[in-house]
Amino acid sequence: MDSTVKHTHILADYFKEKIRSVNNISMVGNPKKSASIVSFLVDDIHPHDVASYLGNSHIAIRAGHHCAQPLMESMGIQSTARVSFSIYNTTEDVDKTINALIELKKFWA
Amino acid sequence: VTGDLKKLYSEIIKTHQSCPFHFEKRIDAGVTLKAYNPICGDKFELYFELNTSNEQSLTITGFSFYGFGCAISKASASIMVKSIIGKSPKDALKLCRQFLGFINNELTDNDLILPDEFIAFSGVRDFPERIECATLAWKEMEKYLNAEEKLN
Repeated sequence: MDSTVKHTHILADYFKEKIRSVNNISMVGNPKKSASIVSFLVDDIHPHDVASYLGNSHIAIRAGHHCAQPLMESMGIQSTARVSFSIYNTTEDVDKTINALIELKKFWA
Repeated sequence: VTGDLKKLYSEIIKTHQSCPFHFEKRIDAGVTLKAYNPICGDKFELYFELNTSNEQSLTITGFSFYGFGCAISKASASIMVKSIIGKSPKDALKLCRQFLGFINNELTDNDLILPDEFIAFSGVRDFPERIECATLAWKEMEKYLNAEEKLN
């Protein structure tokens, strides 16, 4: 179990590090202790449109309220895109996701 | 990008999402409807008046909408406002049923002469998770017009 947690956290940290270098993408929340889940927003592109685009690249993410309407309301946001990592994911998957997010912005430009 | 995605986000949809028709908040509208999907958070308000024209028949006027939603739901609401403004409630209800029937693959061959702006949503039918987006505003309008029809 420890190795599973370690693996997924390494991937989440790698994703956070990579996504900081992409313009117009912001992470939502930055807790000291978190699960291997990262919520984010892409400027001007709705999370569902982000999810459909990534889905088209065979990258499955969630988008929407995530059953957290009161929290989102308090944060002044309507919905987020959210990636989560599991034992079968790799750093290549993270790279593929980051590249798809860069391509996504070109698609909507 | 595959053809499926290009079909989903047709040029008509992209145009309406970036330049929506009558995208304007109103506080004094005769009728205000709320189209809300609590699962994804998309939320639009629809504003219009039911006016009596010279023939003493009702017409939908002053139609605008405002809110937050994905490209599909926003473009769909925009096209609905553009299609329905100036129509009678009876004709508007017919359009609602036509659009929803098209998205849900329920139309017969006789119904298949559709406006280009409806056909622009044909790609949505290949993305079942996006059907709720395409139908959000239309279902709310249909519900209102159905109730209106029963009253008259």
